[in-house]
Amino acid sequence: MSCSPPCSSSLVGGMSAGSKKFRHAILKNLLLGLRKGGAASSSRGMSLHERRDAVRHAADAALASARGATPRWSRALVAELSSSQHGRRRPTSWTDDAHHLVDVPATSARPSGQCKSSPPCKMVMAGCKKMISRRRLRARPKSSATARAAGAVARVMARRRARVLREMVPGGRGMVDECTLLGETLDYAVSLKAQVDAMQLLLRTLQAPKNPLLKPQQ
Amino acid sequence: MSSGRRGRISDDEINEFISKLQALLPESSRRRNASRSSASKLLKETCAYIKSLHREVDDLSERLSGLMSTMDNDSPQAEIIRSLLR
Repeated sequence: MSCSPPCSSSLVGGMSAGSKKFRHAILKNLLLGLRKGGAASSSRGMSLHERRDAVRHAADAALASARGATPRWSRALVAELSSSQHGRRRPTSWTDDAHHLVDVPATSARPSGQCKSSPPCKMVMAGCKKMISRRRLRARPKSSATARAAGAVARVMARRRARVLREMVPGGRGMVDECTLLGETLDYAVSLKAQVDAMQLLLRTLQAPKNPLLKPQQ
Repeated sequence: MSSGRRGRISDDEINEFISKLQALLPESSRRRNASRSSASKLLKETCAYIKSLHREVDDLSERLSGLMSTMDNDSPQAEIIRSLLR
């Protein structure tokens, strides 16, 4: 599920979610964000709680910016971060840069019947719809167990599982189209994993100061 | 791009999606094919996976912030950060 939009930001961004490059982009953005947010220094007088929130905030901003504006969850995440930013004392935020990557307030509740994300998702969406209508017409789909699973996926998504997913994926509540939701979920999960990897890398690097600098260890 | 009318492609794409989902989920939960296990189970595992990733991010944020609060400008850690950013 990869799509590379044109990247107009000075931050590293806009690459496919599964790549090593993506992980490093998150790491770099994270460091930038931490420095800018003041979390990367002991002299700021932040409480531990504040600092933890700052780190979390920087991590999410790094993720969204590295992923770019293609997926809806990414835009929704930036919107969420920006709105939570307004309650803080800090004048500028790195998420302001990330916000310029996107121009859609993605957390609106306005339902959209269109899948606006990457082409593979469009196909999945088309496939889902096809599966749903096919199941209505026939007792048993012509193709294999996969098609049954696809139909089952469509049915299940219509129930509570879709609700849970919507709450977990940023911007999920705005995704009326369940096939969009599925595609976004997949992309989001892959990206989250990269975020975790990047943070673990940073943690390990900081915990072992005697190691040669810069070389990421896996 | 896709008119949504090509049945053949939709099968493949669904297949791809399901296998991607399976490939993504941690090893321990990948015991059965999507064709055998219910789609509900697959999605449930996906939800659980995302939740666990969220928890990890929270935990890592906490640990990172703890580390950073002890950093001052002269520490090796600060130097690491500076050089990573160069």
